[in-house]
Amino acid sequence: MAAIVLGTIMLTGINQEAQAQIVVIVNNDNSTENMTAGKVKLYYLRKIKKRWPSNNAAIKPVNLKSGKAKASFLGLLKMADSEVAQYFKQRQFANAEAPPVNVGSESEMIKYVSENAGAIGYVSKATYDANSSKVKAVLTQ
Amino acid sequence: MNIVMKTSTKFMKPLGVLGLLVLFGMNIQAQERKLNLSGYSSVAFSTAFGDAANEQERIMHERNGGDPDIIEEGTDISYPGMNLFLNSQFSDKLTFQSEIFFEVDKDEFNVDMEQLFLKYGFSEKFNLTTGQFITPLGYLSRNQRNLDYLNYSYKIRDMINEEFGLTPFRTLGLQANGTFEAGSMAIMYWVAYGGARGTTPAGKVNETQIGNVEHSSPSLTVNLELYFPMSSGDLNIGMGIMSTPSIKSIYIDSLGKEVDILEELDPSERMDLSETIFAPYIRYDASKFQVFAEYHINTLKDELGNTGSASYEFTTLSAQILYKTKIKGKSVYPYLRYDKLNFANDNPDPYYGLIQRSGDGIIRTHAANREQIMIGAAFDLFPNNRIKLEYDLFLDGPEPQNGINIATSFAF
Repeated sequence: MAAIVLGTIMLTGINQEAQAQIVVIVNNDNSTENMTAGKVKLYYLRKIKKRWPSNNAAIKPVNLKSGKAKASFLGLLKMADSEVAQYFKQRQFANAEAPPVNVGSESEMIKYVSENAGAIGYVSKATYDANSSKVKAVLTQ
Repeated sequence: MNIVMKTSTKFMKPLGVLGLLVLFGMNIQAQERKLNLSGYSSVAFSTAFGDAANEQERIMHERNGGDPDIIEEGTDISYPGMNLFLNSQFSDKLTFQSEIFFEVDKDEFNVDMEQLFLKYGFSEKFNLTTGQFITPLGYLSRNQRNLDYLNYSYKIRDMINEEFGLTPFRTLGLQANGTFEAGSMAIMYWVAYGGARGTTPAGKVNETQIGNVEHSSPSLTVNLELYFPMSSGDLNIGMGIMSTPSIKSIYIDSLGKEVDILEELDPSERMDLSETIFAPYIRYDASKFQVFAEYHINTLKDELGNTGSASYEFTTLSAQILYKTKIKGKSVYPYLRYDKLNFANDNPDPYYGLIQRSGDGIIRTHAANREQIMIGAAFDLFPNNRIKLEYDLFLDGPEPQNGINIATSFAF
């Protein structure tokens, strides 16, 4: 019985980690308005668009190396970490597309997105709330 | 379908230089420049055993100068080589990429320039590439042409196998490509013009002239793809067409015969063929599975009338179904694949069996039919590493019926 309770708690904890609230962010000069999860996936993976319609800047996906926000974002993409890595490698080899930018922390994510017109990334809700003037939110999930 | 004027490929070099100068001129002041070095490689353990899938094909292959390694039983550990990519983002719009293949084949070490191009992104709808690039025909050639990291399955597909040359591997010239959004779908296009065919199917497009054989004409490739992003998955439907009005080559009238390429050719030995390739494909990629099929129809027409038949045709098919799952949090992709290559045995193709020897000769080997089923699984243990286990069953062809392959491929 204790094992069942413990297992439930553990699974709940894992589930909570995977479901941490995230905010998808772009540069403040990007006039793109609210996006759906499907649109975020299309833009982040550059499946159709390679450039932002608003300013013709090249779309630059930014990726956290690890963390709860990353786990939630992978859930939004419905892809495993290895799938995303392999996807971008394939695009790089086949289409000469630039690889995603990898950052080590959410503060670095905020800094990069705020300084690059074409960047699209993600942070936890708490991080966004503390830096909302520096970047623009296009999806909260 | 000769829709391209017959011209020499000699103009491609100055055109390429001009293209480079124009693209550089448009980015005199680079705002941002990033250099990226990456690549992939693999190591494989393979064993082939059993009787030949088709004994008659095996005899024809062996008797007419075919590679003996293909038909022998045995075990082998192979390191095919490494593909190294150098990518430089000169600016937001201008990209340079080169791909070099370092090949290790028994005691030989070769270096081959696979790609070398500049790409300028004018807009979403129009990008211009100049240099040497992968021929944008079909889906496989653009996305999964190598057996290493880019594939889930192990065995390289006949239709894109560079050694067979059924599909021209590279084009040296110009390419335009772009994407148009149309409601909830997108239309993607690629148009390439340049030299793609050599004297032999596997010959380099920029090879030196062989025995008074002229260079072949440029090829025109058009590839259109419809992309439907759906909540359940992505659907890609495409069609590629490639036309080469004049492939200049050598006609060898019998299988197994070797011709000295340095000798002056008799008029009856000259071969001028026009080639058309149709390449429809479909791919559906969902969260739990992926289905794919690509079909090629290659047609050759004898423009000089020396080969004994007015036209030749063969077809290739590759189809695959793949399941996506996880074991202990690691992605696993079991798959089932089917390939078929079908030449007309009663009308042997005079071009696709030509192989240039390392000396001064070109030999006409037997172009064998093949049919095979592959069952296997790919394991993504780490983000940039893939292990493949595969069993091959040959239903037709000169190879032994059975093959087992274990490979690890990795990217960096």
